[in-house]
Amino acid sequence: MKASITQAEFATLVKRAGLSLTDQQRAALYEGYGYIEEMIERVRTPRGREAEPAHIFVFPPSLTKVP
Amino acid sequence: MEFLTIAEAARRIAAKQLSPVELTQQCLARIKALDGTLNAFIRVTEERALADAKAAEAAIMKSGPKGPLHGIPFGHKDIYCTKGIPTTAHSKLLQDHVPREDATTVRLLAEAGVVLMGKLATHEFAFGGPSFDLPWPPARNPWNPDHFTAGSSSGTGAAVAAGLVLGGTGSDTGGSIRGPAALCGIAGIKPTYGLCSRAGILPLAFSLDHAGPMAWTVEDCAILLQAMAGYDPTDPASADRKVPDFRAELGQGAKGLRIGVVRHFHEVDHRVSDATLTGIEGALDFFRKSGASVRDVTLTPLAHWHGCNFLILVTEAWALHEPWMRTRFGDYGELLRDRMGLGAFVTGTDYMQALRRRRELCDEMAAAMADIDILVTASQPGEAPRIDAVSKWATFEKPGFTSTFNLTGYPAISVCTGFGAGGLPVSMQLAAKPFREPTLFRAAHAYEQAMPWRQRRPELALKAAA
Repeated sequence: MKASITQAEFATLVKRAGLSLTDQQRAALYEGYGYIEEMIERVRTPRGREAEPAHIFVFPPSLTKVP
Repeated sequence: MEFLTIAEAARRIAAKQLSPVELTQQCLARIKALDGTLNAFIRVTEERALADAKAAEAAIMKSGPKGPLHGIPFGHKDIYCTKGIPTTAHSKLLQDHVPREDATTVRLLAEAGVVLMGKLATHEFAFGGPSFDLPWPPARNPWNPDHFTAGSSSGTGAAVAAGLVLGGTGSDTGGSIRGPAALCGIAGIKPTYGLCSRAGILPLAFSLDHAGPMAWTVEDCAILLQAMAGYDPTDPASADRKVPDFRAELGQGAKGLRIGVVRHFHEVDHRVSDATLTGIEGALDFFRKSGASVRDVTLTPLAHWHGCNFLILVTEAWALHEPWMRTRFGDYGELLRDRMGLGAFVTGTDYMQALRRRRELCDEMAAAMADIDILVTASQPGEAPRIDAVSKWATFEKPGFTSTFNLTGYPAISVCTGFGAGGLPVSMQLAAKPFREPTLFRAAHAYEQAMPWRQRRPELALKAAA
């Protein structure tokens, strides 16, 4: 899967992530970057502002019992 | 040497027709004969196994077995922490890691009386594999050692199929129990999220990790899950609810079950092999003839479920591994570091959008399952590929079938549906509503009992047993 950014642009992302990689290691990661871009695009389906994420939590009943 | 299921071994042990010590010695002999080829074990705990077996035998002779796992040879995936025994995650980074405590599930299984045979191979940190650049070689498929086991619970899949142990633990974040169960021709269940404690199991992605058992049969998985399940206050995701009898519905058959088939997953979104398709269609025929109703179900295309799961997985995994990734990148195996390293480039916004997508997909699954008991699709696309032909980006190139149920937390099991043209196993996946494992076992067991697939073992294991 071809990435939408160049190898030089990708090198900036690698640096920002705090990774110190050899050219070979960076090139290997770049090979997979297009797949991640594709997955990111897929989760950005149109949705309303009110659409909640999955990790909202509720208190367990044991904590919310009124004495 | 016979190949016994846990249920049969337990029956013979209870009747004092089988000695746990002899059973353990048989498994140790198989390990010595086969594990040089299979690499299923990272560490064989022979002394501990014999001590466990002798203790079990003495207790059973005195007052009978405490349950069906008393004296049963068993292995743990090497991400399950075992007190005083190295737990390496199959990685150079944890080569010398010796836990001070057992994982909750390790403790529960020990209390149920299993005999600890050793620690089983995994893909590195339950994610990257098959890797040839780690301190231990990758596990190989007993049906043909030139072929892949799938992963990440690779050693458990190989060890159970070859009869080196009667059961073992796995973990499943995107399919790591069901994948190797499928390619090694055994049964493996990813239970409902929260049913089995994750405490003491090295994490991969907190919101997707599931612990579960793998064994030769569905019934054996039910027996093992009975010991593993239960509320654990040390795991924040643990479900505080009564554990049902997982064997309660076994033997009730499939009559009256409402079965949905997500045909487009395995026929269109990721087309499976002819043998896999034949196996699934055979199972649907069986269910129809048994009195179940079968109908097609249409869901969002598979790539969306898989992609959402993967984004969450790789982001949560990166968050855990970031410090080592920054300082010891080269100490990871190439497959793991290149796959997990991609998590570094998922932004906070991307992750939040994935979580919002997750909720939408969970709502969709709940609506689809409202009037269905069992959902059927593939577990793997076909027979195991050659181990040297697995692409680094295999799980990126085509969507997997299993991660849908990690994303939603629903219980799902992989069962063998026969053998393909290459002589290796093929499989299907059944899923049920949350905490409806008894019904899931009922359907899978009914199918398994009606088919001949459990009569066949890998040739390599049969030769070693002769």
